Amino acid sequence: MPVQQESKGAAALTAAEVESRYGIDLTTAEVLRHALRYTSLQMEQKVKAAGLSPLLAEIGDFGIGLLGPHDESRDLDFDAIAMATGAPAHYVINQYYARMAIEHWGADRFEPGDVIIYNEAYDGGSHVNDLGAVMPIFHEGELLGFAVSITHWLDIGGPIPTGFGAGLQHDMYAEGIRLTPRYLYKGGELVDETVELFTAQTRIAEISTNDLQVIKAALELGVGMVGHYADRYGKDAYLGAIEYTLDYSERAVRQALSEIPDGVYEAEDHLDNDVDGNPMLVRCTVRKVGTEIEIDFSGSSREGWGGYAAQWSDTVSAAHLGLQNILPGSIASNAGAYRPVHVVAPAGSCFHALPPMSTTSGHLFFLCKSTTLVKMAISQADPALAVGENYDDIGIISFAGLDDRGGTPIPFIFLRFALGPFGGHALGDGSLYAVLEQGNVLEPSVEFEEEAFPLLFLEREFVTDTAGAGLHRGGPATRSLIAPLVDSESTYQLEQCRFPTKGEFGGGGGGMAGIRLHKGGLERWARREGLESPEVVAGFADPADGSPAAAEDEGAEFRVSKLAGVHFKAGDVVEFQGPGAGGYGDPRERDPEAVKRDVRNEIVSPAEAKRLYGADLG
Amino acid sequence: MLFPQPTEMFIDEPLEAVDGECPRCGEATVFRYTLVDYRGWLRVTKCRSCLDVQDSERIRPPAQGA
Repeated sequence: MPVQQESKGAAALTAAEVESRYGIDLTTAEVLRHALRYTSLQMEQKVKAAGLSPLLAEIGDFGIGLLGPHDESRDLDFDAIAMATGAPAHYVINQYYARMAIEHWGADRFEPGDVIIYNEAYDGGSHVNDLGAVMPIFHEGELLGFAVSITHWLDIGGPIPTGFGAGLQHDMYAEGIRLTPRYLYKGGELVDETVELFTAQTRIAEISTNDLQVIKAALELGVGMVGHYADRYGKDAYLGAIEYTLDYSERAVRQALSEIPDGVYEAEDHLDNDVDGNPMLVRCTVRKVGTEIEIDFSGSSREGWGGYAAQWSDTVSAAHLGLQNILPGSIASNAGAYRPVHVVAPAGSCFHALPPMSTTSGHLFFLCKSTTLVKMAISQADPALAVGENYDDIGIISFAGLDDRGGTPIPFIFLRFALGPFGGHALGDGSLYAVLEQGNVLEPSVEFEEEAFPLLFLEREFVTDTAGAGLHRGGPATRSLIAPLVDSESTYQLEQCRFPTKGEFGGGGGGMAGIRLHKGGLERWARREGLESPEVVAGFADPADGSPAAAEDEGAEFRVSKLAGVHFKAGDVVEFQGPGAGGYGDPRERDPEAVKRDVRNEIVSPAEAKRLYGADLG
Repeated sequence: MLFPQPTEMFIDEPLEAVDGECPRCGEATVFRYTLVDYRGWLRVTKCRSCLDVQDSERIRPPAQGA
């Protein structure tokens, strides 16, 4: 029996085939395939261990890994070859962001020890807060590729702390500092003038000074480890292993695609609002034949001012992730995995901004919509692949101001990315509380956040009767009560406050999201008097007094769910509730024991258990 | 500053019909349009029925200072 790779199906090659195609033995190929990934994970740990920004050290909102070289004889062109586990959207976009920066800079200009940084979103990026960096990997004088990173900078200057300024950032000139590629390190020496761009123009001078050097340390780690493997196995073996690694993922994706019925599958959804408060239609058509697939966003709304548009590179990378997430099995993310995929992103649509549109906020909106639409469309192809709609915005809420708890007021910027529920699917219920697949970040502990920022978290609970019903139900909404202890300027972005999540194959939709304000509520909460009726910040409200209203109430007004520069007072209580996720399949077919368990866990009330599931619990 | 915004509310990728049928599946019309693959932008001539690509040309921006 021939020796084969560890995987099954079309991804598998015999040892003889590996030797013949790549010029290396199977064992070396597998050792190096895993070594590439291990290297990226080590680079990730370096950032987490040394970063000062909570976005990097606590949350892990960055992507880091390796690119291969340009080598036409091997069909290599600075392809993404290995990535760490955190923030896939950040890393996957390197297939464009890092490549375009290298091409812009000129590959032959790099010298050992150089680090080039950039954040020009229109050059294959996402938004100006995502700082790209590349460091060349030389081996015996030959360029073997790059160590690359994208790190989400907590603040990049501009009018809004955190940079997320939906509605306020009319165009790209209002987003903060913009950097075409430039030296951060030249021949291993830190370039002070570049660091001063951050110390002078962002609100996080100390964090920036540290974390810029952390980036270099992490990239240098990757450069050193690749050098080690190239020394040990030889340059040709290393390059052969890159080809092998890319082809491996490509074969695995093509194998998975071949099992999806050929056809044309469509999905549509809405963003809650544009800058004028009007809904934005988003559409996706998936054409799938054999092992090829085309994902087309034609028919979607035009780009909108004030942050209601995304970069094409964000859209495409998110579509790649949507496909990768709905395919069965786990396929290593690298450029090879995306070879079978074509994406159509019409210029001037919300999925392909044209300069000078602002994309800082839209980065999150449409990144998520892209992934969700792809999953919704492919759900039509095969019930076994279908999944109810998840929360599909990386919702955020931020507070910024002066922290005076220590006597000397110091500026602070708190930014929370909301996690949420996933839809039910063929195999089971949706996750209750997890991060979107584009993010894959961590949520910091409440204790850390209360220590680091002048905020109190009064509550974080699942909300009864918000999970989309189904044979396999979606996850429920989560509600947090947050009280700033100082006057704060806030930004919020939250989806599905107007259009609830959808179920699949008879499953129901989830509950809607919303943000509400209990003015001065902290004092009452501390006295255990309960909170008074809130005022709606985002969601449906009674225009007479701002109190919560149902979407179907006559005269109910929708208050936009994305806004920047909103002021909350010390002692206010902000109620931030995400959506519930969609269910899968007919609720009447749900296991009665599962319904009982949901009632016991307060996911479903007894009354709704009877109405939706036909469960009479006595 | 004032900049133009598309006047259409919904945006479609412009498809340019190309003479000749698809050599693979015989579909009557193939189209020329732009799309993105794993390395960036392409101008393709492609059949939207069987996804056969008859022609593709990579679109690259010039290097800095070029």
